[in-house]
Amino acid sequence: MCAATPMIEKFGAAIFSSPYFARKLTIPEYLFYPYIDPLSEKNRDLDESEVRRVCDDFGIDRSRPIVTQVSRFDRLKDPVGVVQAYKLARKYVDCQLVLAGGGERELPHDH
Amino acid sequence: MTIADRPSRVARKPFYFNTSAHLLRIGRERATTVSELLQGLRACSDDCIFQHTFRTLQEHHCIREGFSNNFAHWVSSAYHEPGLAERLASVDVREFTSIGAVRERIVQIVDTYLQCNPRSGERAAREPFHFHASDTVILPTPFVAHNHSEFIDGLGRVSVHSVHHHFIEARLRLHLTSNDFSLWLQEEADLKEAARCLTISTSTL
Repeated sequence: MCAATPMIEKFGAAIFSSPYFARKLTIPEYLFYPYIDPLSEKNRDLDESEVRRVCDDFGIDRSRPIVTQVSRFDRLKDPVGVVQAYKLARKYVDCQLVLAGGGERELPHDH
Repeated sequence: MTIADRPSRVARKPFYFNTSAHLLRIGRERATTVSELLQGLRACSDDCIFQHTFRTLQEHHCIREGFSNNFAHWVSSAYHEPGLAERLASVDVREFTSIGAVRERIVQIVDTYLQCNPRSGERAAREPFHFHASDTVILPTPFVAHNHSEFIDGLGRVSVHSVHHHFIEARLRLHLTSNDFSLWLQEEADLKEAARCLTISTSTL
């Protein structure tokens, strides 16, 4: 039993992203796919100055709508499909395309 | 004259379109051999058998290749016993009106296989089979039918999950090879032929 178990068992249920992470708790344990770790560095809130700096660095106009894909640059993520969707949307909305992400080495963080 | 053109009879009991959502609960049992799979199949809850058979069919109904239940898939991919996997895959949940009967059929297949191939039962799988259970939550939708016109309209608006709830899962609730739609059409809308056709459809999806 880990030190956090008594605290976790005060809740109605626990959720896990894999059966391998599950523990034999006295409360129901559920699987949720896909999942996002709210405590991960990449999911933290950004402060205004950081947002402004990144937009300025990449020439992003914050007054216009953005079509974006945030993912690793991988064929499986269908970036071409995103570009095609952007081209469709652009006919109706004066928007800009932002492809944000990393390479293959990002893979372990996605899982 | 189509059903939509027929004069509507006001139903005594309206048809409430519901839907169901499922929480995937992690079970206690897990198997690393086929012998352990058999033990788990005998011991696990009905919600667990439901998850690995009916729910798999719902989640992967669009996949044309592979197996229709998780047991067959695991035996094939992690255990490399194609003969047993094919036998398990032949279990068509649409033939059953109770989870107990599905369990009995699957247990019988695995048990028979192990009697014929006793050595196969103890070999370790590439990865374990985790028994999970489905916790079903039934939810109302805004759609209610008081006559067959409203029924047809509602049917066109509800999600595929609602259709699965009334059309596939209903047989477990009713213990009949029928569905909620057929029963209502027959008893409340006086559309016996439509009800009969739908019941046949339930068995030939």
